[in-house]
Amino acid sequence: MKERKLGRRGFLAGAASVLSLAGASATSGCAVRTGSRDAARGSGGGRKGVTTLTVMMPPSEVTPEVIKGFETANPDITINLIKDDQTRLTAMLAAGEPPDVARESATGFAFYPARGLAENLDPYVKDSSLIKESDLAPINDLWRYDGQMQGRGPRYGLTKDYSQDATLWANRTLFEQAGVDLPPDTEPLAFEGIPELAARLTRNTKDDKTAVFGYGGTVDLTMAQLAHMVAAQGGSLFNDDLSAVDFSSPEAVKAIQYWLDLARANVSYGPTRPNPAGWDGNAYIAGRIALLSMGYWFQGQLAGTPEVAKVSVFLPAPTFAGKRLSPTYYGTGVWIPSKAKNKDAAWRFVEYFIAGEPAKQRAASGWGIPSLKSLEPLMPHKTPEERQVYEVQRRELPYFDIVVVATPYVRPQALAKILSAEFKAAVPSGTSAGKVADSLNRQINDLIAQEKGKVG
Amino acid sequence: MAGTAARRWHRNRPGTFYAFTGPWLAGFLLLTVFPLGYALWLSFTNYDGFSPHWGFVGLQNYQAAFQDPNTWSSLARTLVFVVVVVPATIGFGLFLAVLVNQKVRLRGAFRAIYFLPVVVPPVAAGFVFRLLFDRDTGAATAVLGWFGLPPVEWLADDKALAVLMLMILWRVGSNMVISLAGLQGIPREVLDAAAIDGAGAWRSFLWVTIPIMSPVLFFQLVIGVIDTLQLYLPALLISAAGQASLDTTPSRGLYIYMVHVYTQAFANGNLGYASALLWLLTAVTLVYTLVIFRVTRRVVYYETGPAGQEDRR
Repeated sequence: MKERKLGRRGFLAGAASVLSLAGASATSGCAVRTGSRDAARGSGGGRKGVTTLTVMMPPSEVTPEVIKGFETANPDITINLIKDDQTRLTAMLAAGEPPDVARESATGFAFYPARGLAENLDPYVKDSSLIKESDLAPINDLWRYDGQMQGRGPRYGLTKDYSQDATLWANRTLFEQAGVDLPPDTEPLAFEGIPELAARLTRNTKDDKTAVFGYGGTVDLTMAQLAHMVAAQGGSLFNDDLSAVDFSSPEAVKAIQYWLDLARANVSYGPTRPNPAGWDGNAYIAGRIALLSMGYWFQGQLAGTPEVAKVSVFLPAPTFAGKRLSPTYYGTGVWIPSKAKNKDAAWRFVEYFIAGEPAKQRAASGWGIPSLKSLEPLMPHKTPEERQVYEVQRRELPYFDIVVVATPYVRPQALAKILSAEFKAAVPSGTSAGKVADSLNRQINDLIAQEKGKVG
Repeated sequence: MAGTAARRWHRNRPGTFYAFTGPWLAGFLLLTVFPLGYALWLSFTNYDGFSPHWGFVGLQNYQAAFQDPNTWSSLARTLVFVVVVVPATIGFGLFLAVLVNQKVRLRGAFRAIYFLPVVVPPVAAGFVFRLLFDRDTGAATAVLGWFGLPPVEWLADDKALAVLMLMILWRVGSNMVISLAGLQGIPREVLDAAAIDGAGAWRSFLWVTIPIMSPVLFFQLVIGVIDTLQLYLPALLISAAGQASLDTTPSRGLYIYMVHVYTQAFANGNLGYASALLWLLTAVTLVYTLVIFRVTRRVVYYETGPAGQEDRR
C-alpha cells in the first residue's frame, strides 16, 4: 500500500478546507430562512420528543419557579434560559440564530418588524384560550406596526406589565424635614413647578455636599420624555411617516428647555452629577431623594424596605403645558423573532408568562400594571399604603395614551446616545435649547436618511 | 534497529511537525485570520446585522471615520491614556518589584497584597471606583476636605479619564509580577562584580539591573500599549456603576476609542463602520509595533542572539 505523507501542501489544503467550511457555516447564518408554524413544531429538541426553548430574559423575571411551573405544565418543552443582553441579541439576530423568545420595550419596538425580524402574533392571539384581544390593555397596541406607523396593523409582541412612568414617589419624612407640604395625591403637579419644588427640598451641607436631592429620576433628554411632553402640547416629534424629526418646533424647544433648566438647577443627579450607584431608585431608598419619578412598578421594589414604603406617597404624573397625559416610557414585554426555531413552543411560553401564574404573581406583588385588564383586580390594595398607591394608579389609567417615541428606521439605542451626548455637552456649557434642537435635528435626520434605505 | 527507528522518525518528521503545530495554526486561521478578513470585508459595507437591504459602500466608512470628530477626539483621549498609563504602570510595577524583592519579613504577604487588585473582578472594581469618587460621599472628597478643598465631580466630563487611569494603575500588580520575575533572573555575580567595582545601589540599579531587565520592560511596553489601545470595558463599567450596557452613555472623559467602536457597532448597529474603525486601529497598532521595535533596537539588551552569541537588537 502506498504510504501517504502529510506534506506542506496537503496540510495547507486541509486547513483551507476547514476554513472554507467555517466560513460557509458562518455566512449561512446570514442567509434568509423561512419557516412556518407547522414546520417549526417540535424542532430544536435536545432529548427525543422534547423541544428546547431558548428564552432570552432576565433570570430575575424567569425564575427557577417560573421555569419549573412551565416545564411541569409542558413536559414536551424544556427551557434554556439565557440572560437578556442587547449585544448578544444583536449578534444572534445577525447570525440568523435568534432566541425563541426575547424581551424588549414596546415603545421602541417598531425597528424589528420594519426589518422582518419579528413574528406576527395575531394568529396566535386569535387561537389562544388564555389571551383574548378584548382583554389586552391599551399599552399592547404599541406592539402594532403596519409597515409605516406604530400603533396600527399586526401585533408583534405583548407587554408583560407596565407603569405610567412619570408618576412620582414622595418621601413624606424628607418633605417634613424641608418644611414643604406634601402635594395632594388627587391632583397632578405641573412639570414646570418641579425645579422650584425640588430646590426647596434639596439640602446641602456646609462643605457644599448634597445630603438630599429634591428630585430624582431620568434627568436626561430621552425620546420618550420629550415625545410625551410635545404630545401634551398637541404636537409631534416626528413627521407623518416617521422619516424625520423636528426638535425645533416651539413645543419641542419648550420641552428641551425644561430638562436643561432642571439639570442646571443642581437639584438632582444628572449629566453633571452622575449617581455613583447608577440608579436613582437606590438613592431614594437610602433617603437621599425626596421626590422620585419612577412609576407604579417601584412599589415592588419598595416592598423589600417596608420602612421606606411606609413613608412613601404615590403621586400622579405631572402635567406639562396644562395637559394631563400619563406616559408609559417602556411597556416592556416579550416577542418571538421571525427566525425562531420553535415558534409554537415559544407562544406557549408567552401565554404562560403573560396570562399564567407568573403574570398573576407579578400583578399581586405590585411589580407593574398587568398587561391583561382581567388581572388588574389582583394589584395589591390590602394595607393602607397599598390602597393609597392602588387608588392613585386607578385614577391615573385613563390618562394613558399611545404616543410614538421612536422611528422604525433607527435603533432606539442610537437615538438615545445622540440625545444623551448632546445633553451632557449642553448642560455645563450653557447651550440654548434652540441650538440643542438644531443639533439634534441635523444628527438624527442625517442618521434616518442614512438608515431608511436599508428597510424593505 | 536504531537506524530503522531513525529513518522512521526522519520519514515522519513533517507529519509530526504539522500534528503539533496544526491545532495552533487552525486556531490562528479560524479565530484570527478569518475574523480579520471578515471584518475587512464588512468595513466596505453598510451591514448592520438587521436590515434586509445593505451593500458595498467602497471606502465610504473609512472616509466617514476620518471626518468623524468623535474618532479623533476618542483617539486623542486614548493616546493621552497610553502616554500616561503605560509608562506609569511599568515604572511603578518595577518600583514595587524592587521593594518586594528585598529580603524583608512578610515579603510574601506584601507581594500578595500588591497583586490582590489584579484578581478583583473588573465589574466590582468599576463599582467601587464610582463610589470612591462620588462627589458627595466618596473617599476622594474626604481627602480633598482634609486640605480644605471643595468637592469635585470626578465622574463627569474629562475628569472621569483620571478616574479610569487610577483604576488601571490600581492593577499594577501584574506589572510587578513580571518585573519581579525579571529581577530574580539577574545573576548575583554580576551585581557582586559591580559592587566590587565601587558601584553603589543606585548606580548598580541604573547601569546593571535596568539593562539586564530591558527585554522584560520592553515586553511590558509593547503589550501594555496594545492592551491600552484596546481598552473599553473598564470605561463602560465606570460609566454605569458596574453594569456595562448599550444604554450606557459614558462621560466625555471615558469616551475612548474602543468605546466609540462599541457604540457604533452595538448601539448604533453600524457594523460596517465599526469594522472600518477597528481596521484603522489595527493599522495604528501595526505601525506602532514596527516603530517601537526599530526605535528600541539599540536600547534593549539580549544576552544571547540567534546564534548563541551576544546580541544587541
